[in-house]
Amino acid sequence: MAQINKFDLNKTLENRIEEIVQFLYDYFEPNLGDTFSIIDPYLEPYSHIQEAFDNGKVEINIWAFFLSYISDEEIEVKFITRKSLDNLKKINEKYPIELQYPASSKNLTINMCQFRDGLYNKHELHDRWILKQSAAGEFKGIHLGPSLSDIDKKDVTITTFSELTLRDANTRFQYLWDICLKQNKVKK
Amino acid sequence: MDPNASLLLLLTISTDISEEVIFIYNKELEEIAPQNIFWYPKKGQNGDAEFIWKEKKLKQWLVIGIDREIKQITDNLLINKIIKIEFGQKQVIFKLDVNQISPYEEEDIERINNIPLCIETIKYRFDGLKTDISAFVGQANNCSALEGYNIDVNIKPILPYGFLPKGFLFQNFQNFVLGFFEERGIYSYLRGDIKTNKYSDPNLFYGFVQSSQEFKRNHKIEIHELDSVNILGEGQINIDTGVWNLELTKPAGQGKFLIKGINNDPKTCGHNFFLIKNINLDLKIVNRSIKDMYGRVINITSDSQIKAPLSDPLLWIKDNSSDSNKAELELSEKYTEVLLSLCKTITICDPYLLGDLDEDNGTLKISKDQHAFFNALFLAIIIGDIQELKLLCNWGKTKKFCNSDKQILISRYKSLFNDINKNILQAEKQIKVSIFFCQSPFHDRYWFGKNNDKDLVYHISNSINGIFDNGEVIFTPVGGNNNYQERMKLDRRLKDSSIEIITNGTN
Repeated sequence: MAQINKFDLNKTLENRIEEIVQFLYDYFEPNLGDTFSIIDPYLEPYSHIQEAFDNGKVEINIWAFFLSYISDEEIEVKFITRKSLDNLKKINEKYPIELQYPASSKNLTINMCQFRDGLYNKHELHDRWILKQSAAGEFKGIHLGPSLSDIDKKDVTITTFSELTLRDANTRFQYLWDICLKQNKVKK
Repeated sequence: MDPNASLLLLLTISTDISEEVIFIYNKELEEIAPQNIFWYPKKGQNGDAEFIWKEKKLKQWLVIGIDREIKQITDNLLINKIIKIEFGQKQVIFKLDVNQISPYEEEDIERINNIPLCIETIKYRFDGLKTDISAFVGQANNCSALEGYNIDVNIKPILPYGFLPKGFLFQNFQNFVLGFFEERGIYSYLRGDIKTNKYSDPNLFYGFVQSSQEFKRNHKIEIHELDSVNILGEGQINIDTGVWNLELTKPAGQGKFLIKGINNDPKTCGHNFFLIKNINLDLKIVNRSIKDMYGRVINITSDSQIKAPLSDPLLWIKDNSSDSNKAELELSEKYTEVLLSLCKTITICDPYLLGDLDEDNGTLKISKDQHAFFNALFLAIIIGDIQELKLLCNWGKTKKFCNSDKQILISRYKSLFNDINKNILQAEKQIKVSIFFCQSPFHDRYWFGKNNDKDLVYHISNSINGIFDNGEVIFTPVGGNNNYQERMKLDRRLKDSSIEIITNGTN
């Protein structure tokens, strides 16, 4: 099933960010013990998340806004991105990098891995996924049109899938996650 | 024998390796020094000093000795930023972890051009001090407890008692002026005899000079006009008692006071003076007094208090207070300051509202966070100009931390504010309150108001209900384009909300 959040001259980018965050929140219904697995090749961990929190600019950064919105519960989030983690203020130096979450809630554990295209197994990243596995093992997930940080003047297509497909997508995520961790060990 | 003793007071933060110096006061005394340098018990004797504030690992060190010896310790710290002192088998390292130490001069209206003060204190500013002194900077209660003018069970006062005047630490910690060298000087005071002319400036003056007989013999008192060299009066200092009396050629409420060298003694010192006169008292009729939620008595007058808008971020840190109750009171005082600056109509945007309200056998129970806030609101309504409060929240977020459903929560807020209105009615005040349930998500917390037609927006780092757990909150004024944008966003969200009137303010 697909939904589209359309670019609309009568709406500000802020409006659309609010709509998308609300949609994601209502769809995923975050709860204690959930694990979110997110792939977005163009997510910039520092400027889209950490800097947004540091500078109090959460509402204009869709990823920071989404994370802050799900942070009422103890939840783990794993991000795979192609973008550099170098500017992050990190909790640890080993992979995956744990992101310091400066917001008032300390519920979120955010682990990040930079996927280096062309290395180990020669995978490259393209797709954008947000997957959720609950503490009870149930799946929810969506595939996104453009990267969420790049929705201005673009329609955002959100596609949902059957449970079977989501399990498959989750398995694929874990495979890519392992590759990502190995890539970074090799580099070191 | 001339006095030659100096006293050195150090405040340090104790670490495993060294004593990190945060305050130095070297004072030359009117005393003869002991034969050997003497560290006071529990203030450095045998290299041991007790904590005067255990939680902050704060120690006081106190030593008396010959001027030269004590100055050497001070100079080592100020110049080399480190000194190792041997106490028998034990060595204590005193370290000043600072980028730069520079003399500090401030404009002093008492200073006469080219004439030294009778007591000179050289001050030093510590720039880039790396040792954490956040428990003292801007912390009036903590500083007052250290000075000994405030009792705090966790903080022992500095010895000797009264060594520092009231407010000294608070004022100087704020400016990072943390090094002092007070030279041996001439203590004196001056008074105008107001009995001679009750409603105008006096022409009879008297005072006292503390010094040796030789000094008193070789000096006289002169009083000049403030803005000229005209001498209004001069006289001798009683060699035995140090007392002096002058009749001026004309009345004066201000002028230059000089202790002037005579008999070939060139030393002259002095200062400008400004007498505090009888003034017409602006009598404020105290209509009534009330007790706030902490039991403090507040006098209510007919004038409304309005605070100036915040120009800099206002910070509260729980750990900077010596105990939890003080921390709560200080938080409430910060809230009061902010609320009074926002004036008549205040809008608070917080996705979580002001938190849940519990009920126990018909009695509303509020958290520590809410207690601090509601006390501040209560006071700010009574002594200020607040007439309306709008609360913008998102029910999707608020309900996550509510034990009750929406209607029950609303009815509890109605009950709470009706109570507030009943109490403030005795001060002829009422407040109108509405809750706006916003349909769209939001995260950032802002407070909005208007002060003298200026639109104010403050960003708040945390939700009200949760500040104590978090341990800190920052109110940051928002200016420029961001101020405008946030206000436009607020307008949009208010329009996008369903409204619940909590109280119309008519009791």
